Amino acid sequence: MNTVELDITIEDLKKGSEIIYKTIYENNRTKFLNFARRYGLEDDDIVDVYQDAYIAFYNNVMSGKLETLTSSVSTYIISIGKFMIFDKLKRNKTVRTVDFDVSVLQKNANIVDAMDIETEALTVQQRLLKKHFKTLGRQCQELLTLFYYRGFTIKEILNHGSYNSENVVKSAKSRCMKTLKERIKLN
Amino acid sequence: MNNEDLIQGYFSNSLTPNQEQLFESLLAEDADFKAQFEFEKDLKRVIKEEESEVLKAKLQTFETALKHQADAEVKTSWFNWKMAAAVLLFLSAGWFGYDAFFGVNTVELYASNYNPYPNTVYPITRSDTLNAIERQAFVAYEAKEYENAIAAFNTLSNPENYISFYKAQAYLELNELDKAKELFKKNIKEVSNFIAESHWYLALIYLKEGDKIQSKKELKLLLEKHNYKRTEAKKLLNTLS
Repeated sequence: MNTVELDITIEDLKKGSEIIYKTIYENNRTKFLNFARRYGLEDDDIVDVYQDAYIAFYNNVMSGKLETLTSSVSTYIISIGKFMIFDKLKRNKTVRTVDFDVSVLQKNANIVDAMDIETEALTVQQRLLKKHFKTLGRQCQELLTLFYYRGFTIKEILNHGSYNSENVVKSAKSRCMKTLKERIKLN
Repeated sequence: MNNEDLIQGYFSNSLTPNQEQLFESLLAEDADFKAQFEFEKDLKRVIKEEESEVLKAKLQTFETALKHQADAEVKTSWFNWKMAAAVLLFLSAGWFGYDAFFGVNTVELYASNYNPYPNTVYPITRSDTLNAIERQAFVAYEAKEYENAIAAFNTLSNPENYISFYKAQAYLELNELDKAKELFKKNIKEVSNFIAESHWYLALIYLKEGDKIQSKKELKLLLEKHNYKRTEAKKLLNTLS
């Protein structure tokens, strides 16, 4: 099992294979659970944090924020998980917070520092945006996802999909954005 | 390069230093530019949320499958255990003491339930020099140098209210059960935090001392009002009852 993980590279992950996604989840689960139990959280909560930490790791790989792995995958997931647990404990007021500052913890943990981790819920404006994004056609959603989630350039999108030229990609994107804005306005 | 290209370059991480400078100044001076950028930033966040939801749903199906698998394994091992126990009982019925077989080994229960409480209050990665003694104490605590930790805790001139809880932990690690007990009790009475945790550790100390009645009492207090270690406490209480 371990050898499978050692062989996994960022490039493999980026291909979006479900088998690799599942293998990494299963291989690191026990280790994470054992690590997190010391914080006195319920097992269901720990699994929840594990999933969120894993997703945060995965998102950073997919967005290109994380370009190479300098530690094992489990180190990444555990670092993010630790950050999330402290954040959770702080919100539940279990941690006495006289001068406790999550950002200090974050700053010092190099791994976490180098990544985008969302701990805030969507704002009202963002929720509205989400509602209308979902009403867009499949092609628009895919195009915008490649651009904003994967961080692809127009050129990379051209190479990736079924467009004839950069200008076609650009105008398709403009049309999608225009539709989205109109639908929000009509809300 | 027009404004749209600039924003696109930002999101694909491909701006040159000069373009970056232009980008920053437009952001500061041009309200329309800023509004467009904020809109796209929100969109990025929203799409990430969408993707995360899909990923989460997938993980939940993996998790359900894992749990089914684990349940199936528990059933099998329970079955084997029953068989083995039946054979053993049959073979040893004449001379094996009933009590020794079914009695509860409190020391083992203690060992299987006890874990020292981690430092969740003082990140020792802090680089400032405030509370240098407290930092020293928690460095020692995390390094499992409990005598040093206690010494440092004792020299704090104005200790935070969580200190007594951690001091109790250190005493417990050093097997000074009476001192640990006293501090946990004091903590429950006088301090507003780590109360559930103190009940749990008191229950474990009583367990270690073989005092099942007191141990059960603490577990019940824990279960009455708190969520900390709920599953473990219930399980332990069942074993002791």
